[in-house]
Amino acid sequence: MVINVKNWYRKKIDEITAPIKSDDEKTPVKPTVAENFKYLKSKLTPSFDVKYRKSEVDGITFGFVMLDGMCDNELITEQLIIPIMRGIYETADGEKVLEAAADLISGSIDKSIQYELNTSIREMLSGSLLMFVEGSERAVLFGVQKFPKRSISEPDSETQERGSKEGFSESFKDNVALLRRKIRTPVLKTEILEVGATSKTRVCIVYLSDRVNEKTLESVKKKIKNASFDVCLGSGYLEPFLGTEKMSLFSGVGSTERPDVLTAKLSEGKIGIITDGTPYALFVPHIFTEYFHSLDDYLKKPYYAVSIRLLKIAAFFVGIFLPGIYVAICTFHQEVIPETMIFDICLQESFVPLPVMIEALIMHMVFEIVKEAGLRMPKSIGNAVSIVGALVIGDAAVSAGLVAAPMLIIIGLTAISSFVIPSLYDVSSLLRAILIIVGGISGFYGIMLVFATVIINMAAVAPYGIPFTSPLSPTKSGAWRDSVFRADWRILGTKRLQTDRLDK
Amino acid sequence: MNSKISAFQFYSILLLSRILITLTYTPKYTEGITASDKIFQTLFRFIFGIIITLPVFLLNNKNESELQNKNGVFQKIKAVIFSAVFFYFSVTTVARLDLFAGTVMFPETDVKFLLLLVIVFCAYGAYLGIEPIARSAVMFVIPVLLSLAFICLSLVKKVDLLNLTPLFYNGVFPVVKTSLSAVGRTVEYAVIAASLPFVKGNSKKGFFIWLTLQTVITAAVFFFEGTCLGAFSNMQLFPVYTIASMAQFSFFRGLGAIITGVWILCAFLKISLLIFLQSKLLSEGFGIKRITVTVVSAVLLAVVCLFISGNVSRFNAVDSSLVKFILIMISVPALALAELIVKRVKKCVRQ
Amino acid sequence: MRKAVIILIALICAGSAVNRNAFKSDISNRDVVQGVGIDINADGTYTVTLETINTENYSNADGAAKPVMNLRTLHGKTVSSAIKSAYSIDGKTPVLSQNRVIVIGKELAERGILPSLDFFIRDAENYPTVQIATVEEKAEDFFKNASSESTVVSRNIEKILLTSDDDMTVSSITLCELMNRLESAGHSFYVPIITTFKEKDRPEIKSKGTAVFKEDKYVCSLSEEETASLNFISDKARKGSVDFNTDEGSAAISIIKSKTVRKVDCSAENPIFYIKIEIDADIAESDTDKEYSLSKSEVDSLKSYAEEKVKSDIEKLSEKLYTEQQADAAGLSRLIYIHYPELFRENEKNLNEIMTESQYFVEVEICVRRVGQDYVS
Repeated sequence: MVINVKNWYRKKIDEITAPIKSDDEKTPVKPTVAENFKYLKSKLTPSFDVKYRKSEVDGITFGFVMLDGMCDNELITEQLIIPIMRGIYETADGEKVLEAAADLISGSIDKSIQYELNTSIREMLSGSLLMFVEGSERAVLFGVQKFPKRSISEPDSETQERGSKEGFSESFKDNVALLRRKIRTPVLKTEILEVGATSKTRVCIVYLSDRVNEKTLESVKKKIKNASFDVCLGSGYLEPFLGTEKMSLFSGVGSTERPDVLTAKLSEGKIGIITDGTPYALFVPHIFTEYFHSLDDYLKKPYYAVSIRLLKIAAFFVGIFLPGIYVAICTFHQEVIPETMIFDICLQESFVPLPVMIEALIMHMVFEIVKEAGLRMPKSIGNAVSIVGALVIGDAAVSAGLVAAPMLIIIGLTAISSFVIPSLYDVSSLLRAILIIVGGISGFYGIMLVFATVIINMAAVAPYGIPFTSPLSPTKSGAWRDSVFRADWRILGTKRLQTDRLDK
Repeated sequence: MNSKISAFQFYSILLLSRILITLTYTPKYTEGITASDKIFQTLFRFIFGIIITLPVFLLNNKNESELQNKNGVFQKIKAVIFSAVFFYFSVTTVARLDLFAGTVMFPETDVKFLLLLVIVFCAYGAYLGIEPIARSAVMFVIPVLLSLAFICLSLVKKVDLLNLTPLFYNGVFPVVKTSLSAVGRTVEYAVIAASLPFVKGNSKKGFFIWLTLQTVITAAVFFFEGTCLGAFSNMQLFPVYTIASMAQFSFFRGLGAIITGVWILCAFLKISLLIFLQSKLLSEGFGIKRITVTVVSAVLLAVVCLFISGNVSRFNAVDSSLVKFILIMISVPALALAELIVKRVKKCVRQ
Repeated sequence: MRKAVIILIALICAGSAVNRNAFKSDISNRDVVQGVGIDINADGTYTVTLETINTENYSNADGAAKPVMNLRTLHGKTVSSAIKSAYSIDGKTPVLSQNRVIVIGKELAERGILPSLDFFIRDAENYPTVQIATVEEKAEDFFKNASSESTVVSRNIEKILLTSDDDMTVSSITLCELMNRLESAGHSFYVPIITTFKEKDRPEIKSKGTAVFKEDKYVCSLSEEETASLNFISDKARKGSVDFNTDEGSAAISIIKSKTVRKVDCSAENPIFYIKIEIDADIAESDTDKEYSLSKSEVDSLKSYAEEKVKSDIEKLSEKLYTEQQADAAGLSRLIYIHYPELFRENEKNLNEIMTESQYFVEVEICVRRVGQDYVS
């Protein structure tokens, strides 16, 4: 039996991906404003930020469509609406009115006549104002874009080397507008819900209608509607409601500060949740391997991306296990220490008054304190705190014989490693502390037991029917092309991941 | 098991469970046979394995499974028998882990607390259900196999073929007896018998691959044990741990730590699975809440294991190959054959 | 989640409270043993010398850690009780997992080493790969003579023994191999002998041949040259050099690779052992009055001298081992067990006699790889 590996792998990829298609359908502009609005609504609903206006001047109906948040409202009012409303149109012929109205607009505003609706929608979604006139089978697009710019700053927690420097801001409309700039097709849907009995915070659900799983979407809406609290001050409030119902260290809800990352997630059929007043957007479903992805992976050569991902995975495990393993080795498994290191470790640890486990716990705690202090303090003082921390725990503690030098190296290495994936810091910090205790009480035995429990706990997370551990388990080999590994864009680009297929 | 798991996931759990048994084997199970016989007897095990599971697969083929009555008295009897078997095997698994921890890992420490920790964590795993267990098994199976391969590779230099022995030096009977006894210690056959209806995919193919893989792994382990340790293996309580601790890679020595990790991962999944199956079978058969059975089973397990803990004569009394053999023979071929006959008779009566 | 974490932390705290011994095994509370010397006293009690890492006089202010060793001499009715008595001296439990070598004193070797090794087989922390060596004095004296400031005697012994891969005049055996040999057909084994000497007033350690054991008792010693032959028979010789005399002076070959094929034929009345040694070697030295370049006939001549030398050494050794001492240190009787199990079963008890009456055919084939200079054909 000859196994055709290529066909087999192609089949596996087909199981979890969908072909990439673009909507090139040509729909001519309709002669009535109502018909055009109807078509646009059929394409764009639900999208809270698309505004439709009808106005009548001298018995002629004008229709305007624009995207809230991406247009200059002042410019529209003063340079477009007022001149058009005050215009005198001597004919009832829609085509002539359209031309006359367009001529009334200042030359500084870009104008273009459109015959086709889908192109018009695309341009309108880029921030242009779309104008229809009753009786005309043409539309006019006015370039009145005003993108949120100045307030947008670089995301602090997800800095990229080659990626965009834009990050979400507190302004909810700006955030949606940032997404609109990335996805200029009508399939991007935005729906608004309100949470918080008193705060009435607006929450926007964003998704791509051609690939989102309807059941998941309904479930997300239901969960948000059922989320009960008085005030909602951040996206973190919603996370427990959106995540798994089982007790777990992992929620199955992702969060990002970057519009480009959210765009990528939406393109895989995920659902984004933007909360007013928070520069972090949530997305569901979220799987474990996504923690190790960053936009830079996709902007660099695949071999480099793979090596970086492997490095991140290694750093994650180092960040969790290293102190626990060191404690276990020094307490129970001295045989593992290489002969060249046994003298150093033995001698250094012998003058420390505390058992290795307590020493590691204290060091872990000191590090967390320094980190917290550095984070909460104003930046200038934060640096000073770091220096004092480094000096105190680094040099003085070793010289005073309170801490062994190898322990210091272990804690330092652990700290650096745990910052490689900031979104997993909370989990790794908690696990690190547990593993230090367990390693000191029951060595490798306890460490492996906790590890196994964490894995089974992680495997139990599947909030929207998508196992958190997919595509590793259940094994979806077709999705491996972009999990730990990252294929070349020439391969990745042919098909896109369909998240809801990771559950089968 | 309302939620089905795939054949790949199911046999991954069973493979890890078997690996645990292979790695924790003690020379008393192979008494009377020599190093080469140990390797050869894995073939006998393979054949016996197929023979005793044949009725189970016959029972679960399409025509027969349609006739299954989920609420019948027979199902209740099956639930009780399987639960008893799984409880007994979970006791011996925990007790063996306790023996290992108490004698090899922490000879200076009282391991009762660790024992309790294992049971609590496994009960939690069982409470989460079969899907997380199955998913975890798939995640563990590759690293576990890679670890074993790594240890084997690092032992190649220590292989001395002169440590092999003439085949059937003490006759064929001890080899057959040891193989049968090994089959009797394979609770996985009972797990297959109890859970096969709830596995989606090609179970027969999966079974064959699983059996072949576990035969190869066991043979490889016996080969390395025989050729690296020679007669020294008979002086060790856990020879596989000894060969692993002899392995050396670069300046890393004492790769026994890797084996320890593999043991605990496998034991965790196996005990979780056995507790889960008890809870599932009893809850389906008698309508008791699954969580209640899980807690009761874990508490009972803890009580029995604490009684055995730290006392090697009690362990030897409980860990009886004969009892295990009888239990497996009753729960696997006998029960399946009986059910098959009952169903055929019912079918004839109806017609 | 919070509940689960609280329960877990409570469990762990309870565990650490119950597990009072946990911190006792902490590395700072243990004597890390690097080497063990065992002697037997006249009254049958044991004297055990432990070489451990001394952490008492260490100060961190000095900078990098330097190995400072402790030599503890302990007494007990058994090896176990002697080693365990270390606890009463400094309150630290000895840990044997880093033990590199067990040195057997001469008297103990003569009286039988098995009882003294029993502890190391049973102890969970001791490694089966620990090296075994013997000395021609008391192990305690050996350690004392070999010790100096900042010298780790055990580590040096281990290093020397591990050179057996590159130097066939050195033998080595681990605890696991020793026990395997002892329990297998022939019940004989060998243990390297080590000794001390002074160089510029500094004690140094070197290998000094091999001790042959029958059952578990020392029966004879082999010189370094004989050790090389033993390594050839046992298929343990890998690298080294062979010095030999020619008609025109002395010469040497440097062995790059060696392989021994051992066969047995029991179809005749007495077993016949065929030992074929295939060696790849360089001409390392040829002290002749001739030119530097060697002709083909000269190379062939050197080759045959070398082959003859190796062959005669092995024949002498087999005579010494199998005829004089009746000790199967080379493990050849294992071949009878594997290939003629019935014969082995019938003669298991008088195997040594059979080995004495056996014939040993040695064939040496050297393939010269390089001659060091021009090769004149």
